[in-house]
Amino acid sequence: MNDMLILMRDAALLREPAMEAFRDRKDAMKRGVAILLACFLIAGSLAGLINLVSNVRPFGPEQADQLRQEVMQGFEQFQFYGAMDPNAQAFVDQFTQNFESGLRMGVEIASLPTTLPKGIAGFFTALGRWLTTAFGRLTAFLAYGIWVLLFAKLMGGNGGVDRFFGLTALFAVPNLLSFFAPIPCIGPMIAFVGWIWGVVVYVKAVQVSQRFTTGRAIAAALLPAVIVICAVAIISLLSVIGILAAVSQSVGS
Amino acid sequence: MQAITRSFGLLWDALFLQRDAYARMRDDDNPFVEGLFILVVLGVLLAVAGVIGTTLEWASSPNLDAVREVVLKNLQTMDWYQLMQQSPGGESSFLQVWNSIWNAFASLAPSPLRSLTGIITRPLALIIWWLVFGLLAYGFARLFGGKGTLNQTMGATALAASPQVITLLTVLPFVAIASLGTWTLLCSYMALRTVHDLSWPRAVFAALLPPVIIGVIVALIVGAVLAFGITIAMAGFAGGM
Repeated sequence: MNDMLILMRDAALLREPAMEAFRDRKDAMKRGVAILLACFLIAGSLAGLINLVSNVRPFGPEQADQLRQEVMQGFEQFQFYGAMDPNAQAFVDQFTQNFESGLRMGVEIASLPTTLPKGIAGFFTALGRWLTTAFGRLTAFLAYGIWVLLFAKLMGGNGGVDRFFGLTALFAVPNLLSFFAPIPCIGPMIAFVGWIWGVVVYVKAVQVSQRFTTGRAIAAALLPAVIVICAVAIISLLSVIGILAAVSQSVGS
Repeated sequence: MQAITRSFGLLWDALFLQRDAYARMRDDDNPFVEGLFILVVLGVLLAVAGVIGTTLEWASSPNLDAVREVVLKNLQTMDWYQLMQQSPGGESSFLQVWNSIWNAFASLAPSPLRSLTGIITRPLALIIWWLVFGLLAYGFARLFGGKGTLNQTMGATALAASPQVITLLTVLPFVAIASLGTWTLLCSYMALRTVHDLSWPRAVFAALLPPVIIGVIVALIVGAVLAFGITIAMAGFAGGM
């Protein structure tokens, strides 16, 4: 346990000798995945706790009122900037009416009986969401990693698959900062810092696991993301051009 | 019991891509039987976990018919619904679509009775996938210059099911473990590389081609069935006119 904590500290501080020693361990992936899961579970625990409280607490008229007030405050902010366009006002009125019906539905559904007591059911719901999120992030890590590994191999990398995943899993350590994400205003900023720090650890892990120079490690780690972003941008651009062409054609005819 | 513990030790090591686990399976006196045993035990355990998880999920959720009634009752108070009621046949068409959507939804809702069928279907699905995948992977591996036997390939590829171990967590309700395909692919790659002593690009193709081929065949079959169904429905519709 102490070993793991020291490794986590060294990984966060990008200490190369510690990462090299970890790379050469036979059980690198086992330990890496354990660290990654532990970090994601801890990082999601505050949000999970908030979720637990809201799930265990019955959703009654008081909670509905609170939700209504929050939504209405949002609309009032729009009105603060000036009088609304009649179409926009009609939309808001329609939305408010549907929102009220939705709230009534929510309160009625929440009051329907369940076989297990509501508190236990709420606990299970929150636990399920907490675990699903952590394991979802683990599978996303593997799905992204397989592309990075492919690019690394094509660039001449020579690290083993298990060592690669073991070492890159350490990127989850700085992501512990996303524990604070539910805190309003400052929370998402702290989480973003953790994410950027995690990217730096990831690049370092690619470098150590594949015995790469920093430049190659950056290229291998970021190329899959760059390709996906470019592909999405091109598809979006083509879609927008297609829609504009169709609209202009229909207006012209 | 010792055999089950040993099998799960192998699965656990295979899950973390430890080459030793795949090599031990390759060197087993009968890898096929060992692989079959592992998949049957894993399939039954997954199904039992699924039954427990589904039952807890069902017990934590309100009755679906009651939810349906609440939603419909509230929809009926909305302006658009009252407008629709005024048009002839509007409400009956709406209720027809409404009922078909809820019936489809009900088939996805947690049902302890339905989950019991998993005790047979889950191991069976694992075994069928393994047999088809193993045979195709063996063919491709040999085509790419692999040296392993069919028996060794089947044993090692059974360990590619090791990511399914994680779905044992569905013993807890509302836990959804998805996208294990990448992990399974990595395990298959490791199995083929260990058994056939292939270079990494060849092992990648040998592991990747079987699911691609299976996917294409399944898509063709589903497409043909859909086309057949649509043709029959159109013919019936035309006859009714």
